[in-house]
Amino acid sequence: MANYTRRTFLALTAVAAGTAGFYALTSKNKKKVVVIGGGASGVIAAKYIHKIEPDIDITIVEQNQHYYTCFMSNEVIGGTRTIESIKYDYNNLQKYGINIVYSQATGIDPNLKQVHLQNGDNLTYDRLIVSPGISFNWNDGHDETLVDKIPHAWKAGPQTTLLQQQLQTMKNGDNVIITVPSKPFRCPPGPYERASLIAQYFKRNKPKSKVLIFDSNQSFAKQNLFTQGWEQLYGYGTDSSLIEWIPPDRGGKLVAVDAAAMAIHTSEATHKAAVINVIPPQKAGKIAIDSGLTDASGWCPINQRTFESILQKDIYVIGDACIAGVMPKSAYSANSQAKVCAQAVTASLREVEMVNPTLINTCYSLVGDEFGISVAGVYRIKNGEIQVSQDASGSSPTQASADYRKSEVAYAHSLYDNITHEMFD
Amino acid sequence: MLYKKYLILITGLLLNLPVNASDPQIHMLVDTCIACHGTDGSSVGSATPNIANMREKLFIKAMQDMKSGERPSTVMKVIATGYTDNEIKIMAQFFSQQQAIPHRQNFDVEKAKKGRELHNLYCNGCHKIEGRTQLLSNNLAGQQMLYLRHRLTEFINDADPTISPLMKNALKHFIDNNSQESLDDLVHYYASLGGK
Repeated sequence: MANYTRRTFLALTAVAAGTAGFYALTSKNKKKVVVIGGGASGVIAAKYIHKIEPDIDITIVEQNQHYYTCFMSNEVIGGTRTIESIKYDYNNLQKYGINIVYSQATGIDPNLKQVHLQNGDNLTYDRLIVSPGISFNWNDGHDETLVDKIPHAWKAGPQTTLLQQQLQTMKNGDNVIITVPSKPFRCPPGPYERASLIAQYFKRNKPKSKVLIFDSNQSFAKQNLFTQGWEQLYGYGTDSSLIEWIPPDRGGKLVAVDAAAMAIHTSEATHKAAVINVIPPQKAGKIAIDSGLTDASGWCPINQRTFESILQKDIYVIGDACIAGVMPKSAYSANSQAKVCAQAVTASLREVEMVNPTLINTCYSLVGDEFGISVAGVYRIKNGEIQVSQDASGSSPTQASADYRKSEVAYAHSLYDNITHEMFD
Repeated sequence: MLYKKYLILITGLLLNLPVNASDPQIHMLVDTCIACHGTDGSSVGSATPNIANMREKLFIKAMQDMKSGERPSTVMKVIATGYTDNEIKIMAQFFSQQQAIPHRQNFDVEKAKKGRELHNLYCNGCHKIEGRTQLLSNNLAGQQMLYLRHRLTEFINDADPTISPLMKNALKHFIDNNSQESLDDLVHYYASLGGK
C-alpha cells in the first residue's frame, strides 16, 4: 500500500467500476433516461448522454412537433429574420437512436420512477431530466386567454409572429409598450434587445412611433452598452428618442393590464398603446412545480455539481427552470448545463464519481443590424456553488469601434448557427 | 493487502483501455466550446473559426495571447481567462486530434479558381492543403469565410501584434505583387474546400 494513497485507490476503483458499469449497461437491461422538454438544454442532454454511453435508452417527451428558438426571435419581431429560419424539428434525433414522444408530461411519480403522459402512457426511468423551461405568474388582467390580443412572445413560435404582425399593422405614430417583470427571468437582456430591434424597425418604417419600456427593475443587463447603442442609433435621451425606459422609481412598475382598453396601469398612471407586449413574471415550467421540484422562489434548487434536484432523488433539472448559481438563464447556459448533467447522469448510472464541471455562458444581444454586444463567463464549483472561474466574466467594452460592434453581430449569428446545429443536426 | 490485490486487477483493466478512451474530464472542458465552434471544433458559423485539427502549439498560443489581451478578441479574452494553463493544454491536445469536417459555404467559383492559383504561388509553402506537415501553420481548407476576412483585416491593419513575422512578410509580399482585394480570392478558395 505504501505507494498508493487512499485517494488514488478510490480514483482507480472508480475507473474500474466505470468499466464494469459499462458492461452492465450493455446487457439486456438497458438503463432508461427520460428527458422532459426538448429545448436548448433537454436536446443537448439527450445527445450527450447518447454520445457518452450509446447503450442508454433515451426518450425525450416534448409537446410540440416543431421548436422555435427564443434566441434570435427578436430579429423576427423586428422584421429582419423570417419565422421559418428559427423553426426546427426533431427528426434528426432518430439518427442517434433517441426516442421522441410528442405528448405533455402531466405528472412524475418519484417512487415508482414513472412519468405520466397526457396520451395516457407512463414512461419508467432510471434517471429523469426535467428541462421544461419557464411558466408564467400572470399579472392582474392578463392570462393565457388574452395572449392573442396582448402577446408575451416570451416563448417563441406563433406568439413571435403575432407580435411582429401587430407591429407591422400599427400606424406610424402609434406606440408600443413592453413591460418587463422582476428578475429573475429567461434571457435577462432580451426585453432590451427586443426594444432595440423594434426601434430599428420604427426608424426605417414608422419614424413617428415609439417603444415604451415599463420596467419592474431599477437596472438591467448590459445597461450601459444598451444605453450607448440607443443614444447612437435611436436618439435615446433626446425628445425624439424612439425608445423610452421607465424604471420603477419613475412609475415603471406594472400593476395591472386592461386588455379591453388596450392599457396598462402602473403605480403612477394609466398608459395606452396600439401594441402591448406584456412579458409576464416567471417561474419554472409547470411540470417542475407540480412535481415538487421548486422551492419558494418558484425555481428548482439543484446540487450545483450534478444538477440533481435537492428535493427529489434521481431527478435532474437543467436550463431556465433550475437555480444554477450565478449563471444567467440563457440558451448557452442551458447548453452548457446539459453537458454537465449528461456527465453526472452517466456517472451516476455507472456508479462512479462525477468529474469536476466547468461551464460557460456566452450571450449576445443585438442593438441594431451592425451593433452587437455580449457578455461571457466561465464558471466552476466553488464552495458548493456555481461561481465565476478566475474572474472570467465580462461584457463588451464601452469604448469600441464600429467594426468591433459589427463583428459581435457576426459572432452572434455564428453562435446561433452552431448552437442550433448542435441541437438539431 | 486486499487493496494491493485489487490494484493489480485494476491496473490490468486500465492498461486494456483504448488509447482514445473518452475521458470525462477532457470532455467537461472541450464540450463547452462547441456551441460556438461547432461539433468537435468544426464550425458551421461563418464568423467563428474551425478549431478542429488546429495545431496544438497554435491553439495554446492563441488562447494565451487572447488571455493576456495581446491578441485582439471579443468574448475570447474573458473565456480564456477562465482556464488554467494546464486546461488550455488539454483542450489544445484534444482539438488538434479532431478531424476537421469542413461545411459547405457560399463561394464564388471564379474567385475560388483565382484563389487556388494565388494559394499555390504564395501560401502553399506553409499552409499546405494536401499532406500537411508543418507544425506551426493552420489548416485553411474549409475555414469559415467571415473569420478569414476578419483575421486578414486584422493582419493588414497591424491590429494583431501576435502575428508571426513570417506571415506578416508573406502578406506584404502578396499585396505588393497583387492587391488587397485579391486576398478575397483566397478566402473563396479556402471556402470552396468545404464539404458538400
